[in-house]
Amino acid sequence: MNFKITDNEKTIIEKHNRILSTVSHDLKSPMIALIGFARILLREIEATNANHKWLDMLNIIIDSGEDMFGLIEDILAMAKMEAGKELVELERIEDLAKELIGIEKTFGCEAKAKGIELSVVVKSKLPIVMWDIMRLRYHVLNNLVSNALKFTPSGGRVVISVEGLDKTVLIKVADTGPGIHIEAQDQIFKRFGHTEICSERTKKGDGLGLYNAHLFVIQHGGNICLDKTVCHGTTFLIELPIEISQRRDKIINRIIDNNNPANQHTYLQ
Amino acid sequence: MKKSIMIVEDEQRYHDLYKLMLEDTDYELIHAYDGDDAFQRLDEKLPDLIILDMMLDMVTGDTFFLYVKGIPEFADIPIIILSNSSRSNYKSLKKLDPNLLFLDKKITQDRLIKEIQVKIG
Repeated sequence: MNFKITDNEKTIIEKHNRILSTVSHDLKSPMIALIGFARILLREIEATNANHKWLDMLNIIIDSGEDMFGLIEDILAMAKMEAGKELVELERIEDLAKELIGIEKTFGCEAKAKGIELSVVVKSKLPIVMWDIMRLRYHVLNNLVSNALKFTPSGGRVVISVEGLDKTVLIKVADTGPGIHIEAQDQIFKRFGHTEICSERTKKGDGLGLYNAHLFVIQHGGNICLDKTVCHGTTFLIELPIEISQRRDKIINRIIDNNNPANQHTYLQ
Repeated sequence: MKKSIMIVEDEQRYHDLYKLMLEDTDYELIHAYDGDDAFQRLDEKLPDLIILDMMLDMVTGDTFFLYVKGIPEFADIPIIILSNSSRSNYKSLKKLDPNLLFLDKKITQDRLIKEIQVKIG
C-alpha cells in the first residue's frame, strides 16, 4: 500500500518536531553544566585522599549524565532529520580511506581493552566523494562500531570494509557477535524499535541510534540494511552515492513519509 | 602581564564552570553576559582571546562575531566559539576567519586549556 501523507499531516509532524527540538536543546544546557561540574569535583577529590565511595558515586553521576546527554542528542538529531532540516553538510573527501581508518584509532583502545580485533579493510581504490563525513561517522559508523564492540565477545573480530562500486561506495561493518534475532531484524531501524522485541542485542541502548543512522543515510541519498545472507554475527551494509544527485525536497519527502508506519520498510527492501 | 580572556555567555553557571576550569591557569577572565555587555567591555579593554557562545539573548553570537571581525581594532582578536548549538553557521563564519575554532560546550578542562594555549600561549 502506498500511503500518501497530506500537507496538513506534514505540518503537524513539523510542528511536533520543532517542539521536540527546542525541548531537547533546553535539556542539553543543564546537562552540560551538571557533567562539567561533576568532572571538576572528581578531579578535586582525586587530588586529595580520596574516599573510593565518593569517586565511584561521582563516576556514576558522570556516566549517567553522559548517557542522558547522548539520548538528548539522539532525540535532537531525530527531530531535525524528521523535520527535513538541513543536516547534511557536504565536503569534498579526497582520501576516504584515511577518514575511515580514523575510526580504528577512535575505537582502538576500547577494542584492545575488550580483547577484540578491530580492523579497517580498503578493498579497492576509493573515489573522491562529496559526503558529510563528520555526521556519517557520528550518526552511522561510530554507532555501528560501538554496538559491534558492545556485543562481540572477547576474542572476536569487528571489521569495517570499504569498496568503490560504479557510482557508489559500499561500507560493511561486520562483527562475530551473537547476531540479531530473526524476529528483531525488521524492527531495528524503527524509532524505539528495540522496545518491541526482546533480544539481547536490541534491548540495550536508547533505541534511536539505528533509527537516526537510517534517517541520515536516506538523507544522504543512500541505503542501510542488514546483510541477511550472513549466517554468523552481524553485518550492516551501507551504500552511499559518490555525490547526492536526488533533489533535496524529494529526500525530505522520503524522510517524512518514512515516519508513516505503512512505509517504514520501503527503503530497506 | 597576564593574558586576558573575555567570556561572552548568557548563563551564569557556564561562567562559574569556565572560571573553575581555568582557575589554575594565569589568565585574567573578563565576564560578559550578553552581546551588548560584550561590546561595552571591548571598549574598556582589549582581550587576548574571546570565548563566545552562539545562542545569546538580543545580540546573537554570530552578530557579535561579525561586529568584532568588522572593526579593524578588534578584528585580530582570536575567537573560540563554545556552544551546544548546531555548527551550521560555522562554515560561513570560518570563511571570514579561517582560524576560528568551534568547540562543544561539553569540553573537558584539559582540552579547553590546551586549545586556549594553542591560541594565545
